[in-house]
Amino acid sequence: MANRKKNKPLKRSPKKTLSFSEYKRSLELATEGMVEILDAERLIRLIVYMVVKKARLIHAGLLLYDEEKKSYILSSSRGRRGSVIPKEYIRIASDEPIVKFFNERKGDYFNKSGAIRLEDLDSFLKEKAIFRKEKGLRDLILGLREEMINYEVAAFVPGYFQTKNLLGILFLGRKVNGEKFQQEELDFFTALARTAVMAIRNAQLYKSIQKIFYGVIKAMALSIEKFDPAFTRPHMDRIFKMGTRMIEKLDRKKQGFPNMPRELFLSSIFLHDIGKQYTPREILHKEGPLTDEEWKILKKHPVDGAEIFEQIEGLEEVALIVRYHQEKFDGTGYPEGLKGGAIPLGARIAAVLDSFDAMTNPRPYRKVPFSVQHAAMELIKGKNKQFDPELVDVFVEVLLEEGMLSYSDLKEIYPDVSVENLFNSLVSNSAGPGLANIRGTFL
Amino acid sequence: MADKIKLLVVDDEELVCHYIERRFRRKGFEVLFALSGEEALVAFEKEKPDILILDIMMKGIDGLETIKRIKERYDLPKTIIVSALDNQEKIEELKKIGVSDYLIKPILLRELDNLVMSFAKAPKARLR
Repeated sequence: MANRKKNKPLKRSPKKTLSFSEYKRSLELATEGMVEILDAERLIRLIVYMVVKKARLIHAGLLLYDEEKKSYILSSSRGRRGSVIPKEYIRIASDEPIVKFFNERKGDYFNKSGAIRLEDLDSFLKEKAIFRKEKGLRDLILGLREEMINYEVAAFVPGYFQTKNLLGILFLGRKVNGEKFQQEELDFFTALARTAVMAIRNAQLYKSIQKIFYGVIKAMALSIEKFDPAFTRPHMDRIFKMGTRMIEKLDRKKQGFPNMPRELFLSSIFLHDIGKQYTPREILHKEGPLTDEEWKILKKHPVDGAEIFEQIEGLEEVALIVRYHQEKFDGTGYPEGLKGGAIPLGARIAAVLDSFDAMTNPRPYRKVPFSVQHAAMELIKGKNKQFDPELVDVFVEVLLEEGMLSYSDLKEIYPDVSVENLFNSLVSNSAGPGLANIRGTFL
Repeated sequence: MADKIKLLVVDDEELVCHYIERRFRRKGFEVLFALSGEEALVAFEKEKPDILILDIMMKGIDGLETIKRIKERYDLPKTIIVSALDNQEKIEELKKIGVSDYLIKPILLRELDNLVMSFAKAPKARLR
């Protein structure tokens, strides 16, 4: 500390106050592309930070409308301690003067930008004539003035969406150098506030569209329930749970995996049998073995299903999983007889997840389901034949971790060397030799 | 000004303490703050505040425990809880041991202002 003091000038760092055009330019640069940031929280933090830093304010904050609480929450703030209002600490109700003032667009009286400075209120209060026309305005202005003083705010800037909806209010503390806000500055902050609320609106919209999208996917998946006795809501829940765990594991072991949104992948597993809606019910519900002709018909369902998603731009990857979920690792599957790494990884994962769930739950052709131990054994036996051996290992690991299977179970049901090998690779818990070999991208 | 009303703010968020301190100092109160339950007990012993503004969820001894320990030795002053914890059971428990008001974060500052001002006006707040 002592050394540092010697080298530094004695005066407090003589930060130069930027001129308006200088800080306007740097704010513009900083906020370029802001509308594209979909992480609304990060965006508002950035805005408030830049405002305080570049315009050199004592403090600033942004109030945002919260649908649930029906009030405006101080979502972000920055500045000198004591003056800065801690974020998430306060909210402002809709009947408080600040919100009323801007909701009724009273700012337009004072300034073409819609913003309001403390000094505007003071000069306005001297003009008696206006108050005679508008009853209650004087009280509103007095209330607002009191709040400005209480919050140590020099200006409020409203952020409207489509000119009417007040989505946010920018709190601007005084400038460090004591200067007043100029008109051009208010105009600029108004534009900034508008951009901020637009971007936040976009982020909210994106979220709600995403919610609708997954809602539609889920509804489509649940429609399978109507024609496929194997497809039920509990089946979906189980696949979701095991699929999530499996992906987490793969994600940890292989960087950047998977390269499609997790929810979209899990959804495609739900949807893989959607092509069965074109399969005659008597085949789907048949209790005995299928004839060759019936098999031929059933085997069309992956392609039929894939064709539905091939129509939708952006869901090409889902279509691939649906199309290839019946392929086998040794090339004996359908529809194309793809082999090993040529089968999209997502489809290989789906095969393991779906086979396990099919084995451990009742089916028309098998009333008494397999035990978990038995099903795990079948998966292990199917390594390199039906299944990708590395993915079977990962899945068995999940079963062990979930307590659905114990190590002694594993030894008992499959007491030969290969299980010992598996056992060892599981215990070592390293990335293992296997997963590094998974070739290709996620799909 | 020997008879300023003393306010003790307890919150593990430093910015909250500083803000409340400055806000009420500007309104003419003497304001102290503590960043933990432990610090609050020390401050209480030394300063005997008239009004307590207290967070619940804090590292170390929490708000509830702090109040209990104060009550072992002193009369509890007017106490306002400001917490993000929205739990009816906890609120009931706190009211039972003598907490007068509970505000859930994010709070309406006018409510906090009004409570503090009303306690400050009541002569009993000074006597306890």
